[in-house]
Amino acid sequence: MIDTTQATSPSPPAALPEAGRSPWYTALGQLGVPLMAILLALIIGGIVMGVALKSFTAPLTGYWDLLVGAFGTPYDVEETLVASIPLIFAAFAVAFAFRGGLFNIGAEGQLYAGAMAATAVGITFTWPGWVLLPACVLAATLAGALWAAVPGLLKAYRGAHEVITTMMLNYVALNLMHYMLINSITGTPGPLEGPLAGNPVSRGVNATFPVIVPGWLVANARLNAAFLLALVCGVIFWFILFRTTLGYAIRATGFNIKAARYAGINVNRTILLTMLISGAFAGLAGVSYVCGVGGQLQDTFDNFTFGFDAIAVALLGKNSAIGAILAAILFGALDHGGINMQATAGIDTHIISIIQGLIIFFVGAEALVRFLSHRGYSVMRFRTARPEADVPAERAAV
Amino acid sequence: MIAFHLLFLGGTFCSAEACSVLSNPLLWETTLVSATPLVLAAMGGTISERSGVVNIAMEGMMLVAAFFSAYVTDKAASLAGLAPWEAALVGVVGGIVAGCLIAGLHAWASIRFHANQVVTGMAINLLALGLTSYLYYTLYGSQGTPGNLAGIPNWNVPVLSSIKFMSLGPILFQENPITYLAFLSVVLAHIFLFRTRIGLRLRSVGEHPRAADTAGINVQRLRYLAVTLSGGLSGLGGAYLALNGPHGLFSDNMTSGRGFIALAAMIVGKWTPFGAMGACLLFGFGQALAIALAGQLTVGSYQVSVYILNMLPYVITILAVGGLIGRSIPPAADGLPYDPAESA
Repeated sequence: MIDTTQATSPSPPAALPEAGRSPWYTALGQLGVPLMAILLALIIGGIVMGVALKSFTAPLTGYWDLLVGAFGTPYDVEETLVASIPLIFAAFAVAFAFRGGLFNIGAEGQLYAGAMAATAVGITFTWPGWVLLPACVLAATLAGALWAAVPGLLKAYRGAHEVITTMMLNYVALNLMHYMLINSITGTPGPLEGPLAGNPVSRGVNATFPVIVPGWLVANARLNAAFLLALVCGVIFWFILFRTTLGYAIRATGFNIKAARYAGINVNRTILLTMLISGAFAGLAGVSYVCGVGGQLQDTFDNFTFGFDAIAVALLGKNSAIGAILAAILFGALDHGGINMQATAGIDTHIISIIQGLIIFFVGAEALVRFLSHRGYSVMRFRTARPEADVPAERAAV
Repeated sequence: MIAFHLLFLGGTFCSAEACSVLSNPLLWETTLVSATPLVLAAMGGTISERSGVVNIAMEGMMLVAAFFSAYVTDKAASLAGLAPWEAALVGVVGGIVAGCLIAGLHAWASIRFHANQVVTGMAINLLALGLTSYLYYTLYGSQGTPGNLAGIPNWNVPVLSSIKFMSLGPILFQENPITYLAFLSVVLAHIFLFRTRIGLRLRSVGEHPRAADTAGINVQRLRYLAVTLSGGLSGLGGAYLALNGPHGLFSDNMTSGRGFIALAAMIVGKWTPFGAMGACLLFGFGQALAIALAGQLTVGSYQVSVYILNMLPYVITILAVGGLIGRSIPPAADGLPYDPAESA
């Protein structure tokens, strides 16, 4: 029934969120649920803190320290942005795949692939920075795309579920990284391992993104040009999706794959291209760290879980470029501010993961958010007339 | 950390037996040990998705259950003064209850509030990781769970465990009680889904909730039941991770992706209990083989790295999904919220 409705009127434009709404109205309407989700998550996180520390004031001081830690000084603002850089790229990867109807859990693995490629190029060659840095970026982009090509091909031509294949490739990439950096049982150093035997890190790369914050403004600033590259990628993300034929095909495939096929779109090719572009974004996340604040590849790279957090960031940002950037900065602020919260208020940083999880939970359960906020708040009034795009595709068709 | 652990296991393995890898009973035993938590979580996922609720939160459910089974065991021994085996048993129950509660949260959001089940499932995984890490570091600090924490030791089945033929006794009948439960759960899940009235109803709810509702079946209630069951089964899997062996232990992010592997096994097994079990065994075998071959496999003069070998189970799964099993099709209403009040 769903398919026939779609097939008789193959008009994906009806589903575009921007159609026929003032941008201001749409923006507010789209912000409402995420904002309430963040608020509710902070409240529940505060309750957890208060109960765990048996104190009413602990959550308040904790959040204050979190806020000060994230934005208190120019240095903190800059560090918050630094923390958000890989998340922005990785969130683009996840969000782009979501737009094409694909759930790319594999941004994590694609990110390792990008990081390894960038490291390989960055430690092998000694070209001047203005040549080597673009080479590293290019290598990472290609490696990420290549790593994503496997699930893309398997999905497009074999029907293999991308959730499984991308997830399995995460573990393959992780083991590949261990192999690259850790001594073997017989003591042979890994192919990318640095000179210090038994230390699972690579040599420092010979080109890094230049710092873009002048020294007189913030001493020891680390915010680098990768952030600008991330913003540029945001424009590219938007341009591909909304200003090209390919983007139209991707969104149509993501919205209703059968309708897209009836409309003459080469769905298999679109799926493959979606994964390639998604993987390229993830690869950039890898290079943004290795040639950014990392300066080298460490075996502990997987502790950051940029690729997994990116799923949360993309969902919170509602799979839009600007949303992903804002959500990534929020997550960066929580991560960086959490350090101060632990140092000053003595609250374990893992509370941040709880809050992040709760935010995503509420973003997923919009009705729960509305239920909990009793529909009374002015922000929520924008939600009573929901833009059509918020209705799940299947139900919109009914 | 995990890699080191595997290395260690590999080391002991090699010194014990240098002969042909496949005839070593330890290979098959390791297969069962790796597969046990996967089988339990995969059964949970299968039942949940058969009722039409996507469940990618087995990872989180297992993790929370692993923590609480260790915590409850600890408290049952230290506060209530129970004997080790009693404490461990209470711990297992605690883990199952914790799994059910987390599953209840997923069910509540998915069924009552029509949440996007993939999103809330992912959120629960994140939440579970944060919650267990937070509680673990707040309650146990850097020392970790007590070293004398009670566990569930292996149990030799009388008579059967002494079968000498092909070492079947040691391989199959000297295992952990939870391993027996895991494989029993496969049979029970199959009977439940395909041989009972309630199972038939549950599957109809997952295929066409509107029709099931019209026939007088309570869609919402069956879905609550299925998701809670999946939490209980994943919870038992989590308890196994924490408590298997003479001593229990919880470590940060202890599940390390097993819930996702179980998810993959469920899909590879095409949403059937025996299919999922087969996928779990295949995966467990890949893992056991990687451990068994560590330091033993050489190509020419090059010794194959343990990390390359560790890729085995994942590569096998990709090959299975991409080449062998073909398309696997989920239940028709999987992931679609059902609103009885909505007109058809």
